[in-house]
Amino acid sequence: MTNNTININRYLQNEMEPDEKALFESELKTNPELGQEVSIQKQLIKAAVNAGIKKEFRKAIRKRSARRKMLTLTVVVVVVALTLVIYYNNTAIPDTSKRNKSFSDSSAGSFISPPDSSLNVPFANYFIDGEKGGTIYHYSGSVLYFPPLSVVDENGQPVKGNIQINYREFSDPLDFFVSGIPMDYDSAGKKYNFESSGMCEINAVKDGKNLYINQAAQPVINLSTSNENNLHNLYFLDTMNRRWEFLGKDKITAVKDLVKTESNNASEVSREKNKLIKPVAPIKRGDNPVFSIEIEPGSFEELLVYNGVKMEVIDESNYRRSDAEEHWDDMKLEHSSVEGIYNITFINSNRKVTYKVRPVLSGNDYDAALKIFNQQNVVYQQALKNRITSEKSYSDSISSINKKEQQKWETENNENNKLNAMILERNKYMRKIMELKIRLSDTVDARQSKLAKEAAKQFELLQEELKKDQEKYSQDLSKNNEIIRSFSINRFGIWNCDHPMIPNLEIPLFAKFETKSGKELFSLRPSVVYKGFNGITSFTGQVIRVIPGTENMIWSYYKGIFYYFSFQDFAKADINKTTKSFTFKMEQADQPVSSYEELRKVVEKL
Amino acid sequence: MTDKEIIYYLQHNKYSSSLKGLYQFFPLVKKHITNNNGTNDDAQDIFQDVLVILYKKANLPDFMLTGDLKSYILAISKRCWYSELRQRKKLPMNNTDIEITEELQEDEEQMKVADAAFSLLGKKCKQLLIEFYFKKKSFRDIANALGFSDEMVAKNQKYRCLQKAKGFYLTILNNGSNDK
Repeated sequence: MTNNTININRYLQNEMEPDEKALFESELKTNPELGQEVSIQKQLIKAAVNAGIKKEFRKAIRKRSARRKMLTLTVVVVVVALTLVIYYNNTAIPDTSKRNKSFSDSSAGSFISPPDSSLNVPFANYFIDGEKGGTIYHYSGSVLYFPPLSVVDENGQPVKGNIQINYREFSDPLDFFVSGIPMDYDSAGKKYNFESSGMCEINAVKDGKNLYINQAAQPVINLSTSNENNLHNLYFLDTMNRRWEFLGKDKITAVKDLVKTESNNASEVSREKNKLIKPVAPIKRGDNPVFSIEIEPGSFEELLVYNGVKMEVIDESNYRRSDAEEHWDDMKLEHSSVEGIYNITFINSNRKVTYKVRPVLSGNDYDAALKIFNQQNVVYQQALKNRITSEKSYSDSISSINKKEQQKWETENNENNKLNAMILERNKYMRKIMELKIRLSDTVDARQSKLAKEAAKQFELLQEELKKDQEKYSQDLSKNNEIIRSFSINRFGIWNCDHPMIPNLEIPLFAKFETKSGKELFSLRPSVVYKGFNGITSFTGQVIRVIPGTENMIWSYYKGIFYYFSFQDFAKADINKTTKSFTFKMEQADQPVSSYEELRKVVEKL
Repeated sequence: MTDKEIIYYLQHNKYSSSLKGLYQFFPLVKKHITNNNGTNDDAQDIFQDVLVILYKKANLPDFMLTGDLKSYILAISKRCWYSELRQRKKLPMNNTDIEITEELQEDEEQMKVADAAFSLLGKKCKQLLIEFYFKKKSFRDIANALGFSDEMVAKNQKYRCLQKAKGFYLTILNNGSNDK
């Protein structure tokens, strides 16, 4: 920056002292170049100020027009609502008083908005002893473990006695649809779609009061799933702040190869590597028959040091003299289970004979061998002593270095063992239930003949259900891709093992919905299911997102009717990347749907 | 909203609040412009220019609203629109029926060149100059807001941006005079 520039800046910023300013202004009059420079800068500064003012007003104008748009939209919505009221000739407002309020329903308001509470996945109710804790085996194969005193009241006091645990799982797009749980995730301003590998909701009540988790004894959920993707994270649905809270990773265990305890003793490996050779004390030859053998280097090092070693038969009674005359093709020497005793085997095409033998020496060979043995024994004893000392210090160092690692390993191992035991116990339990149900169904069969026709029909239905249950349980027990996702919970609510995916293939589409007969469906809240993706995306406005060129399905539920646009419908629809708007002609289920089971039956046929 | 309230909001940088009151004059401005060869978009642009002039005027230390705001705004918009038409060479400048305010007496043509030069700057330069000259922020705050490592970098950057704008200014001015 030149001096001139600095002075112009200071002049324009009004930073000059009066004398200095007067001097500068007099220079301005005589120096046209300086005058022009100041004039340009002055205008540019004004331009910056103008731009700033315009920017602020533009912002205000944008805000104003957004508010106006919202106001217009509200007016439109009110008009539409009024039209619907007249059309249906009764109140169009859904009856919310019927809702079975759960924790999340009550606290989350419209954040969790199931299409209808009667369609939601039903809770399974279990009881545990607050003081002793307990293990819950859910019919999906999941196992919930409550340590003793793991549930507290609103004052943090452990709750004793019977505690009701309400639990349900959401495992596929239909479950997500009926739950109304938002399946998207915001991270650093980016929106992701959740692909779920297991989601559950859990709460505890006693005497009509909600209970909480004791942070010092957190329950563990072992969620049974078939998705082993380790990219999935654990999330808790924070209904107060209306967001999913990232809580790290769950622990994945494949049930087919239950975790085994493995020995990891490094010192044993090293002992095998640096094996010390114990010298064999030479024995004088006795009267028993002997074999002369050739010891190959590297094979029996304890014998190799001696010259003239012969193998003496230990038990002469087994010995056949003719064997000494026979031609043998092969001879094999092996250590026996007793130290110093060997097995010698002679083989030819006709026979194979084995004798127990011991190495012996005679004459000068024995004396020389004794000398060698004495020397070697001293070396061996010293080496052994050193070995014991070094091994002790090694094991000490190992234990100090690896103590934590070892402890961790042991803890993990214990946990694995516990989990394994739990899974085995669960399988036993489920088998028992299955057997009980079969027995019950037999009784039902027996009684069937005695009962009137009407009752028989009911039994038939019951039997059918039981049969299905049996199939389900046997399937559960036999599924070989079962994965257990384990995590401890610090709050009651909705827990989810999910993988957030960037929806980069989807395109926005202005969607209109009509019945097959062309009647416009104004109030549909569509949910889009992408084939092969275990998630769902629900929309409240008229803009939905679909993936052109793949299989998409649209579901919606309104006033007891399930509307859908099937994968086949979507394949036939001419929707590509450039499509901006589309009118979906929705199919509707043959019959009104009023329960989770009924809806599942409909969806399974799609 | 009274005229006094609108001026108060302008003097206290309450853009949204002042707009609420000022927008009641927009139909008047629009009517004048569309009756004089202008379009709806022209009316929007001119109304924004009017807002800028009014804001600046209201923030002058010796500002006093003597007449009513409605007439004042209409006078500024007429002036701005005639100036625009003159630039479009559709109309000879004729001030006889337009009330001249001191704010409008500055060299409009040169100001238009400066505005055009400023608009050619990059987004960051624009933001930097607006933060410094309009919002009167310190270089330290600017460095923080715009992600410069320190205030010296912000200061140097401001100098470069102004030089760049000056370059654009001179180019436009020279090309303009060459046309003549």
